[in-house]
Amino acid sequence: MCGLDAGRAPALASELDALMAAMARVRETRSSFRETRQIAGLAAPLVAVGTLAYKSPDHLEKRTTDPIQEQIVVDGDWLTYSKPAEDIHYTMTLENSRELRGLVEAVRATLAGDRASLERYYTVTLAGPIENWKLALVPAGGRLQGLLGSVTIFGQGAAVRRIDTVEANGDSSQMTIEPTPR
Amino acid sequence: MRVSSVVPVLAALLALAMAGLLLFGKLVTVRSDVSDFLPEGQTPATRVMLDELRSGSAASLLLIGIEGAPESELARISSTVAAELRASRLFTFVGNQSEDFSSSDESFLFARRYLLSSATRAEAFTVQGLHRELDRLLEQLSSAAAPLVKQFAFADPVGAWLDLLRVWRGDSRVETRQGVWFAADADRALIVATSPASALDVTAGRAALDAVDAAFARADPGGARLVISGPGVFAVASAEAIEADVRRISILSTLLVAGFLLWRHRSVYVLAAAAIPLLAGVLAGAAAVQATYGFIHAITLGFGLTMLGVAADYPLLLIGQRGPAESTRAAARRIWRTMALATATAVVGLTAMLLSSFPGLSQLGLFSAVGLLTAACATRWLMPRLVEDVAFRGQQVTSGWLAAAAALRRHRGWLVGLMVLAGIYLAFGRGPVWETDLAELSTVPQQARDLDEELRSQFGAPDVRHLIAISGVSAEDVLQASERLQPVISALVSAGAIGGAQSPSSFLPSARTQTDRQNVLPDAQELADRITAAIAGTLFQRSAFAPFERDVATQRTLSPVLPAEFTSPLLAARLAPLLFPRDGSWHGVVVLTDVRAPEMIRDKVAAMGDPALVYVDLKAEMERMVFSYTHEALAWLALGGGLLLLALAVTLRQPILILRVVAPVASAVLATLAVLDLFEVHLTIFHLAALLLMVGVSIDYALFLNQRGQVTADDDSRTLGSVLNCNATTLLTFGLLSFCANPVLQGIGVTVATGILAGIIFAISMSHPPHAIGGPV
Repeated sequence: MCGLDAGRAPALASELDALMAAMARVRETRSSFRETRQIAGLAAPLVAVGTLAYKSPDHLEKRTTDPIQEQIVVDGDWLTYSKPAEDIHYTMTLENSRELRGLVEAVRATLAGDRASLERYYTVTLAGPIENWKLALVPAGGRLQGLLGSVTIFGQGAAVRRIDTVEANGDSSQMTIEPTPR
Repeated sequence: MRVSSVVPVLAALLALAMAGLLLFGKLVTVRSDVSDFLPEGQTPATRVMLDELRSGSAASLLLIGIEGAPESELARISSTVAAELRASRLFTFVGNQSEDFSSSDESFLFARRYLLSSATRAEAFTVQGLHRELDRLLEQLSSAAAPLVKQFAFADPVGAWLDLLRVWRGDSRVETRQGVWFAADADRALIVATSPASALDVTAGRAALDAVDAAFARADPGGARLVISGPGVFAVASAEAIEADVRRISILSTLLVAGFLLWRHRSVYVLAAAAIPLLAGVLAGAAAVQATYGFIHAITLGFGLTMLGVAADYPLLLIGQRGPAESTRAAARRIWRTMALATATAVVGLTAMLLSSFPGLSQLGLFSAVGLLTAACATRWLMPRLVEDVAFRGQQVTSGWLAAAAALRRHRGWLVGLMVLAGIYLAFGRGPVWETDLAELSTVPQQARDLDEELRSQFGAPDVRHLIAISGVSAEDVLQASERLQPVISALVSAGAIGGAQSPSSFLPSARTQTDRQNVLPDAQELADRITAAIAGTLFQRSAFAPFERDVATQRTLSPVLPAEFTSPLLAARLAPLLFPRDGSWHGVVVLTDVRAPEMIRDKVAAMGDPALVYVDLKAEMERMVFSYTHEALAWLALGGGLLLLALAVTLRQPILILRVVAPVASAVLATLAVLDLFEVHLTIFHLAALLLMVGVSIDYALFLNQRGQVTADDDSRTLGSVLNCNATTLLTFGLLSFCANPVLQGIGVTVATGILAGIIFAISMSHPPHAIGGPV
């Protein structure tokens, strides 16, 4: 039993390393997303659409265009939230909140192929072949655990295709991602 | 020397020592907090505010910074120190990271949100109001902020909780790095701690500081440095600075003066005898101040001890001027006329201080006047009995000194010319600059005050300068007045007069307002119906709002929240500085920030005609206070000066004699003012007091140098010798004071030392010409 686990771990680790290396080679991506949220207390899911942009190594933008217009830009240690309709522009440092940083790194560190950052916040499990992989992230502890149940990221090669999030209270969301043709 | 002549002196010294021990050990209270020395506010509102600032809950804050090491190291030390301070139980609150309110704090506020929050308005609970809020809620649930919104949205769709959190959290300027607070613009980890003791409790303050030091030392700080500030630190620092000054000065000046006198008189006996009037003076002065004020300030005592130099003049003059064949009794009788005049003029001058309404200054005046009178009387009536027929070493000066004195007299024209120049310089220069900032009198060094300002701005702690003081019989009165003020505050904010305000009623509304809010809440059935109507056609499920309905029902029937219910340290720390009981009534403070138009605030508040509300600009108030005290003191000084001149004129009669006495004193004053001006010293009320003391001492010199009954060159030489002795002892003590850390003592030292140096030079230069050597006996 032990021997079996010990034998499997390096293999998994090297597959994860291979995925991370592939992700790290991507300099820039643009895509559109469609996010569906199930929230307790609401009779039907909420749907939001918009665009995502990533620039290596640590710049990430999520722009929602419908039903509301809002934008989150993460650049290095800084997060800017803006909602032009209400003239809200809010900048904060990720250093101030380990939870927030954890949420950001689930996506950003995956895109950057930054395994160390990912494992600082999550227990990481990779399944499936590189052409159709599934990366399961479970908070490794702390306050993040009180907010988040798990994040599961589906991808094909170096492209992320879907992000499923389950919150600690059971609410969930599925975000499907479609690369924007250049 | 016979034993019989030693016994009375020893007996008198012993008696005085016993009296001293009794007085200082049992009867006299010495206080070292500088605020006891400073004036009280002139209006009741200012008085309460100053008092609260000096001793209230805001004053028990410790601001701690750790710097000088890599960030991760600073974070580690900060966590270790904070944990240890929390465990020490010396502090009511220790914060070094944004854990915000504890969950019990949050549930306390959450359970009372519809009473405390201004979001509880009738309109918000109507079907339309709820519908509007639900639309907004749905939008927020679609946004990235959804996880935050969801936590409370269904229990509080009207947003009372978020509104309340905004008020109670306030805004903080600190940044979190590596999990702990850091200054936003510097590599300095920050910790804030509040102690339950008043800032004026120096012992508790010292214990708190020691605890911080010890915790820091145990945290294995390596190269990191600890910086601490806060009112408590100031109190401890100033108390220690004064104590250290007083101790150092009294020991050093005693040693120096004793050494000098031993050298001049070659006699321990003279030293012991000369100490008697001085000790008697100090004890009488201390007793008088204690009896009048109930305590002696350490500054008064420090100053009083410098009378070592001044009151010791009397016995020194007596011993020094006694002729070779003269008994002490006869000498005392002979010089008494001059000594009495000198004492009387000094006391007349000191009366000006005595009558001042500046507590520190009147204490000094009383101490000095009583001390001088006692020392003079002891010299006249006690000394002759104690040292009747003991032979002393003659105090004639060497011929070199006589020649120097003659040269001064010969060249007095130059000196007069110099003084005319000084007069012109003062008259046409910018004139004396008066210090109106009381902080300048603070015993806390500038460096420490700079650090405090820096830490305060890094913490975002308000600079409490502009405030509106509220008073009332009960907390409810104060809170209602604070609510009456709200429209005016809003108007001031929108007019740009102020950036914002922190009112007690925004944290805790009056019971009346809380009840009004409860009356706005619909009953259970009504609320259920309205929710049902409001969610029609939305995505919301009816059952989701059960927590909201339950909470509204509970909070409708709560009794209004009272100040005493805020027992959690963190919540109390917010409310207590803004709302507090004192002397049987209640007071509130509205702290105004970014004040741009103080006149507009004053006018608007005055226009309300509300006797419970007063606008206070503490800095302006203090300046006005100091200004009025300084001018009052100037008036008293002018009167004292006038009386002094009158006394001299009446007693001396001959115009030439008056000139010989008054001209040196006037010159000494001119010289002192010119020197202070040259060194750009800002004059305070204490410089005035010192000037007065210096005038008194200079008059002594001029009077004795010109006293009647001097017939031989030997008399002249003896007089010059004794006056120079006095001058030297005074210079030794006041010269020492100039090196004090305490600005008050230092100011006095510089002024007196400069003045008496000029005084002795001018007094000699203008004294009567010497008698021929070997003249009539």
